[in-house]
Amino acid sequence: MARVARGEERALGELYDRFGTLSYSLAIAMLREGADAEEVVGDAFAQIWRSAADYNASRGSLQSWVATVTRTRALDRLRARRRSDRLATDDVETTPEVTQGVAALAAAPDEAAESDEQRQQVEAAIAALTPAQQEALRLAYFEGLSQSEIAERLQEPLGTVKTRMRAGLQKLRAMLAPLRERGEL
Amino acid sequence: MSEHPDTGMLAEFALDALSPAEARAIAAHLATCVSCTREADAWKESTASLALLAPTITPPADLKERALAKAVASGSPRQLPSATPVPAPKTVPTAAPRWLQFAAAASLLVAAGLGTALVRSNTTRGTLEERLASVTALAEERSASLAERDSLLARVLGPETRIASLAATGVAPSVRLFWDVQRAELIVSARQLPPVAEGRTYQLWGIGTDGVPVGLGTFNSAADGRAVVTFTVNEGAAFTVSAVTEEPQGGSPAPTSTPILVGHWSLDPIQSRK
Repeated sequence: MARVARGEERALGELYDRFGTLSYSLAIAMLREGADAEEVVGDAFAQIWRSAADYNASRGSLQSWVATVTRTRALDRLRARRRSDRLATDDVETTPEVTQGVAALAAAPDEAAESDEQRQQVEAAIAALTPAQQEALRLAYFEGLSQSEIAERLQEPLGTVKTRMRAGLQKLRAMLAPLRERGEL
Repeated sequence: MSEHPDTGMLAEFALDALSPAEARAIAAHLATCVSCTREADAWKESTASLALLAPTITPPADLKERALAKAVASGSPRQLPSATPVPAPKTVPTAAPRWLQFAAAASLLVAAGLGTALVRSNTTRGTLEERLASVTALAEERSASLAERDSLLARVLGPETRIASLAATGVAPSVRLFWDVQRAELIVSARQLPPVAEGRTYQLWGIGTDGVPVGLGTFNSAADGRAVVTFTVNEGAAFTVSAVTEEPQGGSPAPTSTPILVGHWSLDPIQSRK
């Protein structure tokens, strides 16, 4: 990252080689559309390029940083899209579609992930959560919904969603902590 | 927010699941609280690992080039305050550590105001100069190809540019013409146009109200059926129709075959924009 911060384009290229696929896959999972996802990857690497000096290895892994920057850029688009949907039409259709998408994500045992130990560990951690906790986390992470939006979507009381999400996050953190200490995440 | 938020709230903050007002309050608190920042960082790490649940999809091969170009075009990296030594991240390629240790040690010395000479050692300067040279070369190469593209774009999109689409009956091939009247230049862009045999050529014609075809130039397409060529048009020329015929090498003074493609010119530049 120090090399990226010094303006070495090649270092940024190496960073793309390591995390480009993760960034793109995440953008696709969130936006479900290639062209927007490509834009997001470009935006994310532009942000990484300009603010590499802000990266601090003691505060988190490089992978998490790339994922977080990508997700933030994708959320910008997702929320802008939702705003314009709301203005244009009362978009009733997204609900079943999105729920299906989430279900597909939950069900998809993708091949690349199976070969990837780190991924397996995260999947194992997620699998240990209750289905309701998983759903809340996925809606928040991939759809970028706030707790009240999730409550509305699932027709559940806000308090229930809050409890579920916190419990899910607690469990996830506890399960991933040993890996992180071993430097595997 | 003066009192510490509970850890659950920091978790929700890390997930961007709070309302904008709540998120602002947390962010304001984190700006002044080290222990909560540390806790929020830990939550960010956990939540970021959810990204690994996205099914892996290989990006298009050219995305790297495009993303990097976009990144570099977006500005230069913001610099750290000068005397701060750069901590060696755990992600450096394995070949580098010795050099990095040296660099880190060197910058610490600089920070202490001791060993400026070390940093200026020939090895470091050599590496930096090499890097600068390669970046400069790349930048020059980019700007040359950009300038070329810009000039083509300017002609295609210019205010005085008229457009014609030449089509065969309903199907491929197709040819689009961009005529920059001011510069008296005409750009031909062809797709799915099979290359003509050796000894033959395509010829573009302009036909005005007098009905007499004027030869504008000859061209051939590449093996992939594409062609982009620029012709000069006499100033004051006024064409209503253009056509493409196949002619013997070098072109003909007048068409010798039935046009393969024919199309009308837009009446004025403005109307040609949809």
